[in-house]
Amino acid sequence: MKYKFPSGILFLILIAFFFRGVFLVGVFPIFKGQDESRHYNTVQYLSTDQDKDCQNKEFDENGKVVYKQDKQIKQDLSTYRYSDEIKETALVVQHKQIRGEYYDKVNFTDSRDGLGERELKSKQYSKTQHVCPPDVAMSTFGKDRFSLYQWGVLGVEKFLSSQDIFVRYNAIRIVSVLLGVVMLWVAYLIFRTVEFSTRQSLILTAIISFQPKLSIYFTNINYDVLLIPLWTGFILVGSIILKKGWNFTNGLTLFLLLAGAIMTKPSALPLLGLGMFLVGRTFYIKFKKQKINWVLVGGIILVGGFISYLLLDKAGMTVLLSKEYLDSLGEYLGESFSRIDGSSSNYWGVIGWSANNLTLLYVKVIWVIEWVAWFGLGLWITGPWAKGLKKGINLKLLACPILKNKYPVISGIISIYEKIKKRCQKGYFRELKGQKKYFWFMLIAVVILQLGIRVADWKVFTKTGGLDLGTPGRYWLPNIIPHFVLLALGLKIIMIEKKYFEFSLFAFLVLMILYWTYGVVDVIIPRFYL
Amino acid sequence: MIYKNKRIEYILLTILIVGLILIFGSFFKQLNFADNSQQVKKGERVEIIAGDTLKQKFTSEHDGLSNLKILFGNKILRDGHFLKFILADEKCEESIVEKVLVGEYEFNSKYLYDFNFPKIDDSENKKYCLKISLEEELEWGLLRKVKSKFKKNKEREKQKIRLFEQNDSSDNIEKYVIINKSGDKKMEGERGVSFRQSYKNQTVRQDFQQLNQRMSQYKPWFLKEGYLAVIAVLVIAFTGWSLAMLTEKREKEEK
Repeated sequence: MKYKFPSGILFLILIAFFFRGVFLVGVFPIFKGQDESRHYNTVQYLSTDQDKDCQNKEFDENGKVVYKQDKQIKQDLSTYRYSDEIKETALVVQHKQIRGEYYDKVNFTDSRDGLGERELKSKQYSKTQHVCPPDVAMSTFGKDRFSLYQWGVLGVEKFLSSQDIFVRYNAIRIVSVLLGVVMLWVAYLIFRTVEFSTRQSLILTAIISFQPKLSIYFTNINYDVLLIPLWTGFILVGSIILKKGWNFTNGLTLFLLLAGAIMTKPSALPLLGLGMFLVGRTFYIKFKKQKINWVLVGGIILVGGFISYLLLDKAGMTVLLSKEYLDSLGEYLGESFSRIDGSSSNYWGVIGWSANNLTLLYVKVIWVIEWVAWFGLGLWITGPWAKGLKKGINLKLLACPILKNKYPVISGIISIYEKIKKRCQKGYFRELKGQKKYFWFMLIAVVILQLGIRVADWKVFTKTGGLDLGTPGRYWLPNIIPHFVLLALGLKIIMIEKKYFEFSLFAFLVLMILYWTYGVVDVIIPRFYL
Repeated sequence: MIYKNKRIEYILLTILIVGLILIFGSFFKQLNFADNSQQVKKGERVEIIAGDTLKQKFTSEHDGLSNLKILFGNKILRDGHFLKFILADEKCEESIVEKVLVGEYEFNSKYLYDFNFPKIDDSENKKYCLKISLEEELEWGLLRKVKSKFKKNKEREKQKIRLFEQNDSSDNIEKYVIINKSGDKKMEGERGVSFRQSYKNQTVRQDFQQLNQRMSQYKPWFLKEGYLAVIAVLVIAFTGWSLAMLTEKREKEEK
């Protein structure tokens, strides 16, 4: 079925996301986002003269410069190596209360201005960090080791330099929301490129616009808000290449997106692997019926491998091949995988300080949807194998009455499998054949990021003996679109008919709307203001 | 199976509407404004065992007293126990409102419990008494028999309920007293227990105005008061509009 104004609906979805984002900017107190204070301090560091007048500079007995460090209290930003302005603001806005326990609340006034707010706004505090070394977020491959994101939003900070900190800070947050809008628009283009209908693509875009973790994250000051659209852009161009092949524009755009993502955050390095997949696939298709020039292939692999090695070496990853690291791998995997459900809950937007039965129910429903979708994908991929079973073992025999009574769930799965197998044998999966290449591309994107995250986590684990970096769900967000493409493909297969599939997407949308609303209205607002 | 498009549409719409009603219902229940000048803190531990009653007298600072947020040191109230909350008059005799928690109950939000009750319009400067008592279930009822089938060999565990004393003294909160089963004074605290009083305004409109005021604090001019309200309206309008368009009647089959 067709909409009258699909681009109008897309515009409405995007503008609704934008206003929800701006509203959330208004809901979250200053410095509340993940590492926001550190990222904003980095922007201020870049906006000022970086030759600091360090107040904690001392000389040791050899005449070497050392910095005297006072104890940093986790909940108290005024003890951090931040600019005077950030430290003073943290004190005035009672940030300790915001960062503290759930029952710690800000002491509000009976007016539109908080305690000390007017005085803070009227004074000009220094944006310079007087305690060295400044606590800033570095990025290995960025200009002067600072992220492309920080250089980008530096313009906003400078442009609004005459305004108070609340204006500057929240204006940068709104830039994050705008980046989210761009990401959402690119997501729609991906869904269209991988051959979902206009209607399905719009519903999928709407679902993502309500994904609680993503929508909250795009209100933060953090280099991830640039990484995610760049990563998503890379996925779009990759999908276009899979569909239409390479040309100069595609190649150049892909390279620029890759470079931009890596310059934003080193965790974009796994995109190199995805790029190699695209190049490798192209060569495979081109040369599969021709005599292969193994020298050329070998040369390309060598060059690709060498470049990857250099980049990984710069990111400090080659050390992982040493005995010390390899010995800790087993222990690390055991500990890391036992926490995967926590990472998944976090990815789907569960807020740790409000976990309750409703939240658990939401996560379990999501997991059921995910398992159903993965089951569908499994059937699709084993389609040819299932065809081979036509004359072989008939699983239906296993679904005999005894089994049905004893193991109804297994029996149910087998009968769904049989039904889908029948359709598969009638050629149902043939029409999905064109989407298989996207499936592999998206799956590799998901796997490769997971590998990247775990490698970084393993590196820290070997050093500290604990999961200090961890694998919080927010690290999975760059792959949210590939993940949703896979989920949607899996549901499409299980639901068999288009209308069933679209209704399942609507049900998913309803679930996301309800959890987003619950999170904002019943959890976040009461936490900070009631 | 005959597939009914309309029926599924209505089911989804009903789930959405019912879900939103429940979410906003819960929000209105939480829409109380605590006086945060007195912070809730984990001071000295206060313990009560089965049969004990903690009495805490306090003076309401405003009209519209509607909630007490009490800080506990327990994550759960175990099976076989009741925790009784009574808001009584200043002599701790006549109860105004009662609420009972039945174990197994899990405290939310880092063990802060919301004792909600109907708003008391003229509460300003009036003294009240909060009574918290822990009771053990005496009889093995039918439900317990059924439960025990699933919990073989599991004995009822004795529970202590932990609260906290406030770090600072307050004029509005008296020292707490614990009374034992036989009605004798078991102990008297140095200060009051850690809890917070919350109020509702006279109208819901005033509640929203106060919430808007709080959300406006420490924000830039474009996220304060009227601007924030306009953004909230735009959120509702554009979200509703986009969803309505997404479910609009469609014209013809897409190629």
